[in-house]
Amino acid sequence: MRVADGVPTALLEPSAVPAAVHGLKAAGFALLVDLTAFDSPERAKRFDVVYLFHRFADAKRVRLQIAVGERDAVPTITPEFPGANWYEREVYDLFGVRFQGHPDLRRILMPDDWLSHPLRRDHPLGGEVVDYGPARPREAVAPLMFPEGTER
Amino acid sequence: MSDVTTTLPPHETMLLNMGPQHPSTHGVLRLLLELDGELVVDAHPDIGFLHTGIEKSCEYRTFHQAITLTDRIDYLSPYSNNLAYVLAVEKLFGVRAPDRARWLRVLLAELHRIGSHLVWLGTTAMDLAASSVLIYCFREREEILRLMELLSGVRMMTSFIRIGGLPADAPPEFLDGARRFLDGLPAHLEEYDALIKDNPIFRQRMVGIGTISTGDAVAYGLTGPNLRANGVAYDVRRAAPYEVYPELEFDVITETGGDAYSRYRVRRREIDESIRICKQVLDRLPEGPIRIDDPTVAYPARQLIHTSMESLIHHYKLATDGPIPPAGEAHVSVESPRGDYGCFVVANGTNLPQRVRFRTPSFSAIQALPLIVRGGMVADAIAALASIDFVLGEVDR
Repeated sequence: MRVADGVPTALLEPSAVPAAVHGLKAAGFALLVDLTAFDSPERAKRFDVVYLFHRFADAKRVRLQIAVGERDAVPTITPEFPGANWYEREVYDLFGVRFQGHPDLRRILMPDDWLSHPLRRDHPLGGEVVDYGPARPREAVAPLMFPEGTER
Repeated sequence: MSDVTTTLPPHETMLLNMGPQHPSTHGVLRLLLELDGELVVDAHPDIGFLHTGIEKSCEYRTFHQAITLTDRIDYLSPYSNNLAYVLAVEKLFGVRAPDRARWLRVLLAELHRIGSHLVWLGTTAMDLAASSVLIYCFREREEILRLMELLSGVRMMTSFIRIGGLPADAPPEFLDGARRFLDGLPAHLEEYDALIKDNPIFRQRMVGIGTISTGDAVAYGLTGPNLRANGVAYDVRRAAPYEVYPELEFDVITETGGDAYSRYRVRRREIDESIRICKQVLDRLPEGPIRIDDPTVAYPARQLIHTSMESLIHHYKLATDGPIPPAGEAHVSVESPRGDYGCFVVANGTNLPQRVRFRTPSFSAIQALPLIVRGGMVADAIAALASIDFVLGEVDR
């Protein structure tokens, strides 16, 4: 347990998430404020999935954070928090983190036939093939490295 | 022929595509309605049409440059977006804006809340075919936009905020104009109440329509007026106060119906509370600087750039490299007109953020939409849709 920006933060293994979330809900943390992720491609477990919960009674907040690799799957928390459904879909869509047991893990913001996960840090800004012509198989976006300082 | 009818499932439903281009979606939302005659059996929202990758774009902007992107998320209350982002970055730096700036920020946020609720009131009435309300509401909102133009030169996307304060002080004409506007507004609000509050058609279309249980509302993460219409007094301005809200007197408005009419009442009464807050700010606005004096974070005063070489260098470094916060994470929630609007910033010790995340209340509201429209008529779906006050720009970001 550590404290990041004033919010108690528990660093967990992915497998510990359902039990932790169940415990939080039982302790009155009824509102899932946010579920998101961020990417640190230099690490083997490159994604951090972050859950933020709120308790109405005393306005306390608690954060759960798990580190996952590209091949790992995170247990879904939709049975406890049905509202997590779209948040997990968004993380899947933009980062490619898979959620095990999710009822409907589809893309949500990007087009259904999109191939890459745009919020990964090694995904370039721009450079997508935009196809206005008749339907053709879309080319995969090449995994370019960061443009050095050019995109400020 | 008889074969076909006997092999059909007993309750055949029809799929109706509402949107992406439909006037009542106020943006680009595709809603797939599953209908049994006129009854809505289920709804499947399809979002993403307005996805512009703002979070990705932020990763390629310095911490200052990203401010202008945040306006575009919820374009009806751009100041809440600005505030959440800048407060998160200030939290990373560990700095706090000077008092005058913190009071002025509250004033601007509340003026935008009034403007946003007025747009909501007008467009909702229009969706229910009472188009004159829209004209009146926009008349008052126009005054707010004029004030913003007077203050910042821009009507809607003001970005009138900087890390560590404000770009400039508010001119006396702005403060006088704001006071005049706030003095005149209650009389206009009474006119709107006379038009719709007890209007039998308006009540028929709103009372008991689009209900959601309190349990579902919390489970699906509804916040803001949509949650307070269910009697849950959750307001970030009180639950996790930011800026000078702890020093201000105002009530957290709740209603208990959980239906479209309760949401209308909550927003309508919140305008009164916002007027109260704005007047307190105007009465108690302290004098003093509007930006912190820290050349690694905030721009030096404009006149210093012409007289001080040091300030010129600081200005140049802030404009090119931008400020560099220490590595870390910060989440700040603010109460936008639509609810708990959160900004989560991850800094990695460089001048560009590693991740900027916006948690937007409309995203949760649209997710809960099937629960809200299920079991009603198609026409009620329009009223229910209008009552949850979503902005597609912040759903898709």
